[in-house]
Amino acid sequence: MKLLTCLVALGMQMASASCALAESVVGDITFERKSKGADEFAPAVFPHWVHRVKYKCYACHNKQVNFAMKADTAAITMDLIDQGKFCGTCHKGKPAFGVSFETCIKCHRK
Amino acid sequence: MRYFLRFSLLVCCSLLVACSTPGMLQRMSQSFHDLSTKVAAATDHMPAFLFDRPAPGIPDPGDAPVVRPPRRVPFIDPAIEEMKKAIALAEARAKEPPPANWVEMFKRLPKDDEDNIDWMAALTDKIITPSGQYDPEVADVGKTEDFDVELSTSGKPKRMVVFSHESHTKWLTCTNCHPVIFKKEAGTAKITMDAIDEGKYCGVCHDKVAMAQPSGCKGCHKVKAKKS
Repeated sequence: MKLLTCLVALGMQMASASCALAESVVGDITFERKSKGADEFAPAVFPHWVHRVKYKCYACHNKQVNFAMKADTAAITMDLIDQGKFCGTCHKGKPAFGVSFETCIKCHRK
Repeated sequence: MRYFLRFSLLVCCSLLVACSTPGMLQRMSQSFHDLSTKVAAATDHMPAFLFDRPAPGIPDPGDAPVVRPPRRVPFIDPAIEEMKKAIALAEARAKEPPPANWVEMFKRLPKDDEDNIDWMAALTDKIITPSGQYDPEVADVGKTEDFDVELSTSGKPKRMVVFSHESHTKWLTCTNCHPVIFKKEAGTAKITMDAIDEGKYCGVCHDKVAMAQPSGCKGCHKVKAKKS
């Protein structure tokens, strides 16, 4: 019974996690997949507006996180994210969701 | 165990004593004395486990509880352990606050005349309270400035743009724009609309993530509204 409730909770969370906006918003950045190409796996989309709701520009556009003000200048790889660079500064479980097989589709979507 | 043995020995002896005649008692005490001296001599050469006492050379533990290792190694099923971990993870997840509903959030954000998000309105209406630090324990490094800069590349007063530092530093800090996009000395940048369309100067952000309000020319070229 306990296990069942846990699974139900997990299922609900996954269902709510995948309800991202269908239309694109001004400022959304679709990262070009330079390492493996876009056919194999959907490229990551960065929704600027989601981040602007919680953070000011300079929370990420600074020397520590090292996002320049120009798009496509940061060479982001999943390895670097795992090391806590770029997106991995926040996306490590806290304050934002971490990288796992459940959360691939949150960024890598078409 | 030792207490029990002593007690039973005492009971046996008292029974014997109680049920014996005085002459017999005397002989019995003699023989018991002989026996006890013999036993004491013999136990030194007999295996220690026959008696409830430690082997010679090992200190007497007294009545302290005997700690013995487990008779067999407890079996840990890796499958069960994995399941336990998964359940713990799921329980921890269930306790977490529900994920942000972005669709709802998007609907709540004010929209401008072109149906894009009007971020300045969202900020002034306090619909959003963005933080300048992703780590809540670190102090916000953002600096604010509130002086206006009159930008007039062409020299025509009607095309002049009044740049407001105040509205920009609500989002940005000095180092976001200075000195990479704009040098700190006013008037050094030759900002033209062509350069902005190419993504230089204001065009680094504007019309990409930031929309001047109202949309079109009037968002920035609003000198008409200024009376002076």
